[in-house]
Amino acid sequence: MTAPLLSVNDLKVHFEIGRRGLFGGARHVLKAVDGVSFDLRPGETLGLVGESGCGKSTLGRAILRLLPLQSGRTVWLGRDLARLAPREMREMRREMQIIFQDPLASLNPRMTAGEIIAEPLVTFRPELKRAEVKQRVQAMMAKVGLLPNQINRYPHEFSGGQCQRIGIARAIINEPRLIVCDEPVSALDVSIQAQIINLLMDLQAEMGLSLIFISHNLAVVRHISHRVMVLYLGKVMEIADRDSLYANPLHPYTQALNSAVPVPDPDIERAKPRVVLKGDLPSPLNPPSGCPFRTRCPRATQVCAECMPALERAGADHMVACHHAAMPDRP
Amino acid sequence: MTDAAMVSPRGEVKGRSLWADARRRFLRNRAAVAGLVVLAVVTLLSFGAPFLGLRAPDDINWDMISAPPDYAQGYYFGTDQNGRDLFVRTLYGGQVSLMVGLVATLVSLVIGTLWGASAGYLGGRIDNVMMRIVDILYSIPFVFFVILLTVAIPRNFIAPTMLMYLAIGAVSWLDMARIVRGQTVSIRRKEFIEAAHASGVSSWHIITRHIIPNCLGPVVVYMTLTVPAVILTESFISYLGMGVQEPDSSWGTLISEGVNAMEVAPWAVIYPSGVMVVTLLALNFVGDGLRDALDPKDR
Repeated sequence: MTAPLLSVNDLKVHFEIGRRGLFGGARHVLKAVDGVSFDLRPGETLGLVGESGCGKSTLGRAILRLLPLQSGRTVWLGRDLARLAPREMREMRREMQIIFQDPLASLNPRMTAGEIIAEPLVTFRPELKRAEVKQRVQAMMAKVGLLPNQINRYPHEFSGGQCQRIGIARAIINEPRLIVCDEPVSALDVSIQAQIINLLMDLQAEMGLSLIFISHNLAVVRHISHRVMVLYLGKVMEIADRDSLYANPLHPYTQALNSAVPVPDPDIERAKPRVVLKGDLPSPLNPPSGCPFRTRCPRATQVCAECMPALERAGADHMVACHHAAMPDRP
Repeated sequence: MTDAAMVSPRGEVKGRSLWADARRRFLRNRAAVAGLVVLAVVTLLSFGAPFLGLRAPDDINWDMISAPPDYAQGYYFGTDQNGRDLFVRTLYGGQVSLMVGLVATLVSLVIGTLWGASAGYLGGRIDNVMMRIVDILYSIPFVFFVILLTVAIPRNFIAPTMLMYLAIGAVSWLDMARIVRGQTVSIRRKEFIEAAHASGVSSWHIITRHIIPNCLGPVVVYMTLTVPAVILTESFISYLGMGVQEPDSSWGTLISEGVNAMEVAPWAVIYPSGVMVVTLLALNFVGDGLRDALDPKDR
């Protein structure tokens, strides 16, 4: 196994909620990400799935240090990012980029496509001549499937899919090694989604990128990921290689998510077993004791309320955090 | 595709920026364009007055003391009680009034925008301290502040007119700072700011390249409304006798003198105040037009 590109260890991101004004007031701690650990290998795509509000996006931003960490370590090729001085961290940003959910909102409306794509380049290589920057930007536009002669257009003159391509061009112009994709396709049409996903996969094959792919669309995650991590209320429920996770989900939450994916065949769709969860996601301000999923879990017992199950190995590349994980048949 | 798809000689498609869109909408607004024309005429006449071959503003004609308008002799606005041409004095007074408006607005633009954008972007404690400074300065009564300045700083050290530029400029950036801060706080959470941050762009460049251009719309509108407010303030201070000193004139001093002689020579107050009212109206129309042009949603 190759050395991990990024190694995240017991990462916690907590937010203080409530007034902290002149006169104080009640303070609550929201544990958006609470003790997440995983390794990311070079050239690998890690899918990140979970319900809204389970900390997917927060985790993605925390890895890039766009948010302050409460505790934990993010080790990038042996260097702890949290220990880096702001200047060093800014230098590291060349290596890691992010693509956002809302393609239009992620582009400055007052800048042309060319200026937007060029910004990371001129930030890190201010010595480049203007003509050279332009040439590289146009090459990048061609690479992501935009017409290079549209370099002077503004974001509002592009379609959503084109805007997302501009965002991708901006992310890859410095040839990073990691891109966090924060629901990059959920705001797009299904046909455009496929184009963007395939573009990302092509770029990954060409440039050896690692991707952290955040989505709540399990089908899309299955298509693009090598490994998948399931989050629930800021905690890892299950992390496994794609085939193992989809064919043999061990955590009851993963099983429920999986059974909710519609199958485009009405006969199968009607016949397949459904795991329907009761209730809603509990408030992350006041999570249940022990395992956060126990309030909705069909298998919950006394022990689930008492302690959080540890993430345990359940297969070659399969970890699950459940007291009652249905253990697979070992050969 | 319409004209937006025009292709430049290098084969690149020309973009249609938000500013170009706004300019087109502004030019379609008749009242705003008329306001702009009136403003241009007043400005050109005021600053071109020395080159128009008119009388000097302190030229005294002993035969025409407090005379009504006389077109034959070229006294279009009549004369004041010292026999000076009121038309010429109004134009020269316009120089002072318009300059005060311009200087104070520029000061408020530069200081207010940078201050507000920095406070809003940096946030937290820095934001708190910066905006409390604004609050404290805001709580000082303006006229009191100006009187203190005029008393504290000796006349031979700095000209009263300059002092007034200083005083008005020092106060007028406070509103701008608040407006820009509010805009910045709303823009700061947008994803393109986060994208810039993730790309390693420095805070300074995020503020100047991403935040300020995006809050310039309300700033431009507020600027056009600051100019008339400042002109009025200048008139008020001069009316109180603390601003522009004889023999210089401003619209405020002219109106003040005119009011004293209102019963015998009504033209001495009607004409200068008429010019001022027309100018302020024009500025407000331009501001309205800009607001509609820059923010078409609010129409």
